[in-house]
Amino acid sequence: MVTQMRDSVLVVVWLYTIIAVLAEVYTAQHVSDTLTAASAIVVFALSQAAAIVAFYMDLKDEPGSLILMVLIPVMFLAGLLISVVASLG
Amino acid sequence: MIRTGATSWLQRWVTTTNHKDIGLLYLFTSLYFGMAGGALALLMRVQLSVPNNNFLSALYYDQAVTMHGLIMILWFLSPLAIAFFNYLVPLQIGAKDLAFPRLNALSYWFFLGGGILAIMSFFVPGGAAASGWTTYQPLSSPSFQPGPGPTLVYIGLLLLAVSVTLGSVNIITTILWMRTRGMGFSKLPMFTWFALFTTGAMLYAFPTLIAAFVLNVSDRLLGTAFFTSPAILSVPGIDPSILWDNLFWFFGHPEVYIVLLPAFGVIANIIPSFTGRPIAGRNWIIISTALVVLPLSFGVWMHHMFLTGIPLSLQESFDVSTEAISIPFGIIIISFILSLVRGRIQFKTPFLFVIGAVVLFIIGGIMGVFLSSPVLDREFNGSYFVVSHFHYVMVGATIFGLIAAIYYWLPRMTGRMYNEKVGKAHFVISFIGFNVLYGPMSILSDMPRRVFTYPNTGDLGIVNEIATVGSFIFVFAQVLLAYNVVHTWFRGPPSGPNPWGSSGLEWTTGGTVGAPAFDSETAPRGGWIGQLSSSAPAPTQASVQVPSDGHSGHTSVRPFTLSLGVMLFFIGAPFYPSTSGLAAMVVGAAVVLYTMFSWARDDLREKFSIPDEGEERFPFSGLPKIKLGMWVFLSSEVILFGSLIAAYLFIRESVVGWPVASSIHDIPLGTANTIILLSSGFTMAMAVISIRRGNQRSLLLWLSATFLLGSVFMGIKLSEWSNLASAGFTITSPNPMYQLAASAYYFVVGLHGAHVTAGLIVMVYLMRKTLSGAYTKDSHGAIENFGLYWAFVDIVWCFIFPLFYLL
Repeated sequence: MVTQMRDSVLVVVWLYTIIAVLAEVYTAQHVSDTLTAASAIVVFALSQAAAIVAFYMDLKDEPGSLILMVLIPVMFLAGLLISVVASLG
Repeated sequence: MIRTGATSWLQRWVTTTNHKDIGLLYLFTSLYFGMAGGALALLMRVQLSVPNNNFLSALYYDQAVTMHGLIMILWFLSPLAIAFFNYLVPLQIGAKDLAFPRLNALSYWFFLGGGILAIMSFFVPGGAAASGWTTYQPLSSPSFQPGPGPTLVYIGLLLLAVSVTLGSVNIITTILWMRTRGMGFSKLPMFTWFALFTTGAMLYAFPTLIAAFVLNVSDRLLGTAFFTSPAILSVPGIDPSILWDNLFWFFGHPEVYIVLLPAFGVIANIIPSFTGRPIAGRNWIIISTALVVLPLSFGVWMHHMFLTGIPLSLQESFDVSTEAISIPFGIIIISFILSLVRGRIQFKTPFLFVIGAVVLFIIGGIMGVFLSSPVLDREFNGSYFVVSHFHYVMVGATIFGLIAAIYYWLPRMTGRMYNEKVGKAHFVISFIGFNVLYGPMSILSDMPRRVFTYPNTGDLGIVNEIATVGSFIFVFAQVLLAYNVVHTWFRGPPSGPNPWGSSGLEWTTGGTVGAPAFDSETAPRGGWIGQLSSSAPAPTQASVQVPSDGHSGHTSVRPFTLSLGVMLFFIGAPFYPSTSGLAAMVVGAAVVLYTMFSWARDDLREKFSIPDEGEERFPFSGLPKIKLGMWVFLSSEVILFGSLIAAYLFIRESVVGWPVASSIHDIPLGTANTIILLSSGFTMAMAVISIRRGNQRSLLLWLSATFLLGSVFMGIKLSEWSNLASAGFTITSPNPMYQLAASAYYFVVGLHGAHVTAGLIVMVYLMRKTLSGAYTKDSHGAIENFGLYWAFVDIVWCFIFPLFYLL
């Protein structure tokens, strides 16, 4: 199901992941509010992951059933992360 | 060279990759472990038969309890189900074998190796683990469980978890991708459906167990302090045991369903053979299991933690989810009962065990509903009421269901029929023995479950005595099973090809023990395909045609030797730095390296290859088999790394005064290294694109660039670690906070580094094959799959970098 991808798309993704890393570093060093900084960094990390999954791993071109199969553990994991932190009270 | 019969026999079983052989290996090995676990249970029951008994010391009793639980749940119940998955799933879906035969063999040998390590622990100084099957922390830490024995058990558990994860990938891929023509999901046999459900749960549950025990073993062998750090223990109200509880029960509760669901699959599969009617509510059973049981099985684990001090709001939400999961089970049980209505029932042994399983599950399930309530849980938790509950579910429903499977499919495995009278006696005595054993325990809600003896007060003595009598009755009944199986195997009368008149496809394919799945040129039509949808055209013989000899030559000793090497290494690890320990580790590592080299050489010479097969691949029609397998595997890796990150967040949020990242790490260097790794992801993606276009030269170029960048990443990483260690940031730091931070950092980053290193090794192999011109525009699956792996490694780092270097 994978379609031929243009090289330029991969270059853009690569540049984005690097820009996101630099943005994370900038945010960590210049945003004083911890919660805001952490939230922004998490968003950057998630967007990097999404870009890599979609374009390097070609998930965007795979069957919807495969996308669902990948999302299931992510949802379980989100539940685990939230509950583990919440169990601290 | 002329081989003797014994040598030939041994070689056959050591090198086999045949799913039926491996199914039998799983079957008999798990039954052996069942006997070992049962023997430990008898020791416990003798000790508890009278008050103030001293038949076993407290330590030996604790070891017996711990090892009984671990062996029964992890080396007996689940593998017994896996035995049937191996043997039957390919037959039921019309596949020639599992998707990855060598991986299947490796799974078995890891399972056996882990079990050997666990059993070995009884014979080393200090004995086996004694902290209960839940291995709660810090009870299972070196402070309370010193010695090599517990370490061997926990490493054995790790091997088992790896085995189960690999096995799950294999069975899931097989079911999704290798069905014969006409075998759509609407016609999939119920046992195969439940194999899919079970392995799906395994895939996401066992990585958490791996994460938990990797942390545990790291504390024991490497000196980290995830569960005993003074930095956490000194914080009022925070208990590192809660971290263990979360990780363990995120695995542990789905494990209950992992154990139970195969038995339900057996029940749903074989009821029609004895009632003459299809299973009632087939779609309801499938839908309620897929959409409710499986998702909720990962959403109820905290009901095991009601007494740990977790917030009330969490207790309430997990109370609701726990009660909700009883609804789909109600639907399933009602469907089973409705299937009996108006059926022409034949009370054969398998059917009797099916009925026994359903009855015992109803009793155990109702007891479980009480435990979902935080209020009642305070009363019952840690009492024999709980012991009674989970044995009714896990022993009653599961064992009875799986024994039904043994009787039902024994003629398929041997071509012979068991002794019906002995079988029925086996059922009657088992059912009586079981209820005499576990029934009385349900009224022992005032007796703690983890004590080796008890005072002579009230009716504790008589109730325990009755339970002990029941245990001997139950064990005696299983002797009848052993007799019946052995007698059938060697002297049973011929059963005929389909003694139950079943419409399952597994009965219409020829061959018995060890023969290829499909002996004949064609598999006869019919089976579920014909029965369940009369409107669907029955497939012709040609449509399920399978070559007869495509499988038989596929033997390999590599899975065995790889497992042997890993086992030797880990046998030595708990004894390091003693000479014998070191020697075992060196020999083990050498065997592993040699096997990996040989495995790669086999592939280069194409000594082991099976053609892709399977025609029903919906909804993964456009996806190659190995690529689907890789995605399935990576989805379990998500849980593995996610669990470790969850552990890190727990530890990080627990303590006050966590070291500031910039005071420890060189941020510019870490940033540069991150960019290097992300760039390697780009070059790998370009490598994949190159070969899709058929450009081998470009492929080699981009692969080389990826290898170079990955190597530089690891080089910088090692240099960072060296600098950090020189600065005192080590897992043995006298500063507890630094010790904890260093433990978390080296562990998570190190595990990621191990993945990168493994990738670099594989890349050498890929470049070697590229040089030989092995990859073309039309044949480059290995490159595609490695691209997925490498991108995943990138993604993991996208989270590790900010968590450890920035926040």
